[in-house]
Amino acid sequence: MIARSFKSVIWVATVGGAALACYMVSLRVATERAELAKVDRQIIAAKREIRMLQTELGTRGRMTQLEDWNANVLALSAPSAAQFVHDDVTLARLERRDATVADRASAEVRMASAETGAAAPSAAPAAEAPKPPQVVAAVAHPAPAHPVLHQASYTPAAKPALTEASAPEKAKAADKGKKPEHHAKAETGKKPAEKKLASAAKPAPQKKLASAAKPAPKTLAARGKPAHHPAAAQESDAD
Amino acid sequence: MTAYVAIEPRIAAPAPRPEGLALTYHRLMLIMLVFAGVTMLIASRLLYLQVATDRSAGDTGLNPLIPARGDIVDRNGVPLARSIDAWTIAIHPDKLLGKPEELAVKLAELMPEHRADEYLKLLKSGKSFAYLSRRALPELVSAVNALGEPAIEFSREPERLYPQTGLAAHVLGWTDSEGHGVSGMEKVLDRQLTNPATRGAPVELSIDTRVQAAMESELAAAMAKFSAIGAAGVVLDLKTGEVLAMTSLPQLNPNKPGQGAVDAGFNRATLGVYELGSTFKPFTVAMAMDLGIVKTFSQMYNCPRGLPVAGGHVITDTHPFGGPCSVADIMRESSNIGTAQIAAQVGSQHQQDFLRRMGFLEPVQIELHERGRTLTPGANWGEVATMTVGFGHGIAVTPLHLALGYATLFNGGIRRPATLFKVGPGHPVPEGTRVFTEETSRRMRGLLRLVVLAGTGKKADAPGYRVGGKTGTAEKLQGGHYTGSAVVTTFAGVFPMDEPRYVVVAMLDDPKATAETFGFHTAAWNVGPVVSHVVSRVGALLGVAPDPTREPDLSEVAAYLKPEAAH
Repeated sequence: MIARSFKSVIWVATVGGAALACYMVSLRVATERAELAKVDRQIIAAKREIRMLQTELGTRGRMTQLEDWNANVLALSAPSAAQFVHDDVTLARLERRDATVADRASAEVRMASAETGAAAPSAAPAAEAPKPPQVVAAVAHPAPAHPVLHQASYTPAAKPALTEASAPEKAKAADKGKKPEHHAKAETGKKPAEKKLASAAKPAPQKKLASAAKPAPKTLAARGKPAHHPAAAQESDAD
Repeated sequence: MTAYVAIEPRIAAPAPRPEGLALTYHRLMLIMLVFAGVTMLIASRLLYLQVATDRSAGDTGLNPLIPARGDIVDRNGVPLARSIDAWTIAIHPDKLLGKPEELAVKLAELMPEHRADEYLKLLKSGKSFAYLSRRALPELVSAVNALGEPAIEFSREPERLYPQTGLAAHVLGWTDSEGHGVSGMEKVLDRQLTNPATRGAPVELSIDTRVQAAMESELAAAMAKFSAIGAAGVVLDLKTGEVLAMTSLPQLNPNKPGQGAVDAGFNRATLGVYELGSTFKPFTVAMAMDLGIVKTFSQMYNCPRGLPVAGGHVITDTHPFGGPCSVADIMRESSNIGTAQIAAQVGSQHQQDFLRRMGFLEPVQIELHERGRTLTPGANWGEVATMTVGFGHGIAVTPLHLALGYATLFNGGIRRPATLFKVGPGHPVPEGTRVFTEETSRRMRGLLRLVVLAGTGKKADAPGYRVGGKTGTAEKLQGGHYTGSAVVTTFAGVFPMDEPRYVVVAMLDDPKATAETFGFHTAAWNVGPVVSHVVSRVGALLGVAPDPTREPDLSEVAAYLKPEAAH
């Protein structure tokens, strides 16, 4: 009875509520749209600003200005033909200096610390390969270093790693030697030589890393005392 | 509270008749319906607007990121011309509030382009509008704003900006105050750059900013050193005809085209025609080779000290042989006498035919509107004219012609027009027409390399880049006759000669001799080093690695490479 008499009221309320809900949705959408439009405007403003700044930067760094700076301050000149390296062999030959004993020793130490991991456990006997001082050093430290020394010694498998590893040294040195020219090139944007340098320098360290890094976990796992390895090797070197 | 309304019988309507009451109800109903209808109409319109309006459509009408005038960029995307929103300061003199005298002084302090009395005159003119400064810097805008004069108006207008200032000014051209191109590529591309449909994408030119800068700085240095009145330079990709650099000095700043030297607007590379002298000799030799007249470079000619020709003229050499000389000798020592004889053998008809096919008898083929008409012997193309044209006199062409001629000669013998558009999907390499045989093209490499290795072009060599080329020193026609004092020196070079890729042409107009050049003002001394420096600077950028171990096939000229040419 009451329900019937309130029927119209309920209807009105329902319709009103539905309309309100619809309106709320529409309002929400409108808000989102406005928000989106605002972001769009911001994006456009940012893009304009970027363009403006690029233009300003380009104008300030125009070729004539760079030329002036070069003439007054930097005094860079175009690289000569001799500064371009055409193949890896030439690049490697750039390092003319013979390695001194100190160089070799230091190189050896680094090798040793790397090789402790690199050398397989079976690599024990070939210790006499290139460096007598190291063997002596190794013997001098019998207690903790003994197993390590065995690992550090060179094996036929490890040999290529050594030669490869020395390559990056040379490459690095060559790269270092090339640095000033490198700069000169960067100024004039000489690409081919840079590429050469990059290609020459890249593969070697990769090899080294690979050869040095791969076997390491094995031995570490086998030995179970990783912390000792480098320390021992360094100690043995210090003697 | 209840309000009572007393009905005054005076005003009260007479007792309604039944039909009258019905009418009133009808009217009321009608009015109510009208109101309801209007309300409904408005409501439905609102609803329609709410539903049917696409709000996103409003944004796409005009993309604010599309510049008022399209960008021009170089082949690597470096902007060469852009439109920016620049500040403009204007004044409405008729709405002035402050004292004109005071304002004029302050304006003159801030903008010293004009004097105070000039500003005063403007302020008192009573005009409704006048520009005070266009493309003003923000600092200036804020300083002028601080004057507090309400009649001064600040606005932002799209302005053309050339970020590289004078670089490649003659290629780009410039725009007038309305923003329309008046010369160069701005004029050529005017429609494309202003069309809203196309201006959004930048136009890529074939110019390489780095090469252009190298060419301009080296030429400018040489021009200053030898006190030349002008210079022009072209670097051309000889396989595609793309112009990587083209310059004409003196040049102006397209940002302010009104300023600068009087002849700065003149493009010497495409509009100026010059007798380019000995740089023509390789063409003559190539023609003779194509026709089978010159079979080997050791073919001998008689080269006396002077060669009398019809009309009482005598052709002379700067390095006379005074005896027999070979084709290689002629080219190496740049002998007019020898070349004249070869040209005479080629003959007027063949020579004209070759030059026509090379495009030397018509304005140079390039997009620019500034193209000069070449000067030729025309109807007087007799034997003497044939001989002089053979060594580059009596015919005047633009430096770009020369570059195109060398491109034709060394790209395998195919002539293609020069282009300032980067070759790509929209701009394919044109087919081209054959002028010289491939064999001739190949054999000429060694001959021109010889000129640089052991002849007049030694100073143009850039170690490792295998430059080949030919010097040219032509006397300038002054007041109707040649004088030895004023010359146009040119070097046309190609590198790397073992696999030609780029042509470099450099020209100096009226260089003077200096102590450093031992009193010479020939091309070998002034313009040769320009080419050497330019090639050293840009060779590697253009992908030519210098390699001292490589040389073109020199077997045909090996006998002439001995260093006996010492004089």
